[in-house]
Amino acid sequence: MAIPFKYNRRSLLIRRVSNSMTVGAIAIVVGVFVAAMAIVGGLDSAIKDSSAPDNMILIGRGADSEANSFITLDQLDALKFLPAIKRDGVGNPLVSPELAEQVFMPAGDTLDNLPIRGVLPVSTQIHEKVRIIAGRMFTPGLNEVIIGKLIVNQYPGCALGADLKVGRRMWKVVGVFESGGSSFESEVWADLHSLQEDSRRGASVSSIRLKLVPGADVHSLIQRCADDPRINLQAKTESEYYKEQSE
Amino acid sequence: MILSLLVGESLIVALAGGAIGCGVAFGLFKVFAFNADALGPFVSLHVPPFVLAETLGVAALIGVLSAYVPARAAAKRSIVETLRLVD
Repeated sequence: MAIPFKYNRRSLLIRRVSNSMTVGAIAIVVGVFVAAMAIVGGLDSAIKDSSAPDNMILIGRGADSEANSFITLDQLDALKFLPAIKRDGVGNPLVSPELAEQVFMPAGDTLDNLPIRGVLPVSTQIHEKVRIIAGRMFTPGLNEVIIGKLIVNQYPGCALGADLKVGRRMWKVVGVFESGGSSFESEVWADLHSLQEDSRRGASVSSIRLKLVPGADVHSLIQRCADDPRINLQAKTESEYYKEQSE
Repeated sequence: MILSLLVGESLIVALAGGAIGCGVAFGLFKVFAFNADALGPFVSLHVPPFVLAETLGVAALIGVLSAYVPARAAAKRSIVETLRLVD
């Protein structure tokens, strides 16, 4: 015979103090656990959302991330017409050379590392989730930048229309972008050539992103990039790259 | 009967604690969402639904397991003997 539920209810109410304390203790443990999982989940989704399934990233041999990678213009020229790379409507390869730098920005009493990425206009065709939500895209050569929506008003000069002091020059913030919750939303994007000049990196870049043609043989492309002495780069799918970065 | 009574009570207590904990955590997320500065620009909060289900499941399991052994011991005792111990 099943026990009526009211027996449980009465029994719980009789010992209401000890039961309340037990419920409170469990609630605190569960609350802390869910909060920790939420932070982990937030980081995971930011990393996962930064990648596209048909994008590849190339970094220098021996480098473990964009931050310590060095790629020359010759290496870029040697790979950009490989048949596995998708092309736009007029036949230009969807290859985005990018320069990832970090600058210190004051944040209260401390300094934060703010990522700044030099890109060419083609980059928005490779990072398809990037969308301007206020203002406009920067004009190459005019010391203009766009900023991710997560850093708006977080640092001095990080606002639409403001002047942002990064590196050796002032940049005009002309746009704010979002990118589907990815880590790009915490970055400043500038014209590649202006950033190369400002950071005195010559014509080098730190990574190359490219879009693959549908059904491309990823493994043979990775092998080709590693074995061809003119290219000599590590190629990875973006999802693989970001997975490694999160470890 | 005594076994299911005690295990049931423990399950109710554990699930109530789990539900309140999830509710408080979500309340805090809302506060942080309104005040993004508190977390800085590089962290966003995201809880997949399976984590909530898993958390409540684990809370329920702990409630059942922690009550089972004492409840079984209590259930095995003779009621007459137990009543003799009551002042």
